[in-house]
Amino acid sequence: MSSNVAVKLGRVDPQDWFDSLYSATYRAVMGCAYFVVLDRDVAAEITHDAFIRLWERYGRLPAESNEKAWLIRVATSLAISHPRSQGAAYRRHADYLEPADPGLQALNNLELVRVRRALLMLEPRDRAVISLRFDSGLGFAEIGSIVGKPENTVKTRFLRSLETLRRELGDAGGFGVESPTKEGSNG
Amino acid sequence: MADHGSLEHQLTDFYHRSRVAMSGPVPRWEPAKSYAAPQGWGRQLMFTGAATIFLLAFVAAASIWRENHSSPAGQNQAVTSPTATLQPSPAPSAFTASCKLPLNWWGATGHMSGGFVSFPGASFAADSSASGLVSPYGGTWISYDTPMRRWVPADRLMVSPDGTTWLYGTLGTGMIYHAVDVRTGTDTTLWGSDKMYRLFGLDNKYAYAMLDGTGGAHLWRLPLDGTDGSQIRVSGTWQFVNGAAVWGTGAASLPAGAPFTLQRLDLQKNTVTTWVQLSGPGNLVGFDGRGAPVVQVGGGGGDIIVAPSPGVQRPVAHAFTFAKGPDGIASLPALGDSYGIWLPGTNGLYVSVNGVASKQSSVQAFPAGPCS
Repeated sequence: MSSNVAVKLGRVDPQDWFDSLYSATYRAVMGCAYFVVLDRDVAAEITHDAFIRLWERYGRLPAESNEKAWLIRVATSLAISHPRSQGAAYRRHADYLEPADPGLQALNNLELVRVRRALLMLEPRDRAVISLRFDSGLGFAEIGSIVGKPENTVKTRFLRSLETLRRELGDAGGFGVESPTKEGSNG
Repeated sequence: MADHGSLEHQLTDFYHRSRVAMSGPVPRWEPAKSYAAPQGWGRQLMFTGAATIFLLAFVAAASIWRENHSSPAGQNQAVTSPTATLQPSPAPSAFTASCKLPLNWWGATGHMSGGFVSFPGASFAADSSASGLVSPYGGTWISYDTPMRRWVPADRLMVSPDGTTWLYGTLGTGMIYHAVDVRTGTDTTLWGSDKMYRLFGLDNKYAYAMLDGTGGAHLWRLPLDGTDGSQIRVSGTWQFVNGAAVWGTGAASLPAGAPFTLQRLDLQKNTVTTWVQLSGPGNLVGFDGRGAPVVQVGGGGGDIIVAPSPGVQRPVAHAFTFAKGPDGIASLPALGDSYGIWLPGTNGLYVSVNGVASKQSSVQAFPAGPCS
């Protein structure tokens, strides 16, 4: 019985497999990378790298692998360890970056700019934890398997990150949208 | 808490609207464009990043050096990471041969660095010449080209045994593979760049790849000089090249728990031999110094065996957990040479000699070439 399954799986056209996987999962993978590096071009690079790695490992991934989960784990891991996620230089250039980011321009919303700025204050791994929780809706155990930390560590970092975000975004007024004059000229 | 709810709403809204802003057509593959050197401050950041990588590598190396010099090889205090899993506890056995084992590891910057553990004594030193190597497609995996005594920007499975060639691939209309001459830097595009080859390894003359066609996937041999490739008349799915043979597990992917079978295709005689057959799952994790396959039985954390001849199995390590890189366990993490079989564990580096694996260093890195 297992040999039948093997033969069937062996006949999957790799190009079709890759094309369909690429089309179906690109946005999800790109989103995971973007929410860590918060830079669309860098996220696109990382997404590209993740797909290249998947292609190169065709047929070599462990039997129980789920390709989408694998891609998200790889992209998140690459994003966390990406130099631009880590460097203080990136933060110094954050103001310069914002108007050049097409995704951000499309948002054209001061409140979102403000949240993005607050997220940039977190460590990359914590940004991943927050996005996997709020964007992907994952449980702490699943998040732990993606970012390579035990569940309890993830919970601790999650709560600590929320505190940081609360501080950065201000705790008065229920985090309402600030007036443009207070926020400045970004956006 | 009221403000928690508000914060949660803000974050959820941020992610939702960002996703909407990122919607639209999925871009085509344009590897060259996406890896174009950044301009302006991006370029400055690139140099800053390179300097940071060097500094971090230096600091890491100093840290590891101190650790290795604080206790003798084989008796190091293990596990600096709280997430490290329990490793087997073999009787300490210092590796007394005289050689240097090249290692690579992922630094905090996401780039791979390289260095050597020198035996006897297991002293570690990073090698600055390994830093900053990036393949033309942007890949950052590096390995040590022992015959040429230099680092190259490729997985060690993509370096020829004689060390004269390494391969990289980009995705265009098809999968375009390039052979780079280590001595001259000459880049040769392999035949078949309009086809979706899955290249999986090479010997000194040919690269080997699978290509789907009528009746299923077929094995192809692509000359490293760029001349026309040819199909090898054999069925099956093949995944690794080693010792004048290609090896395969019979299918591109197997369902979880499926029995593991490993076949060997002798490239001279064109004969296929079933080399390993397990009643349960397994993974090929490397080859020993004589070209025999090393297999982990039962999946991650299982026993490791070597199969010197068909149907014959000898122990390598008991209940071993391999170290992981950013993209999971490295392809063929175990590396055999004339001294033994090197195993990168979650808490350090082990070597298996005569069926006994013993820890030799607390360095958490992958073998990047044989000890020489």
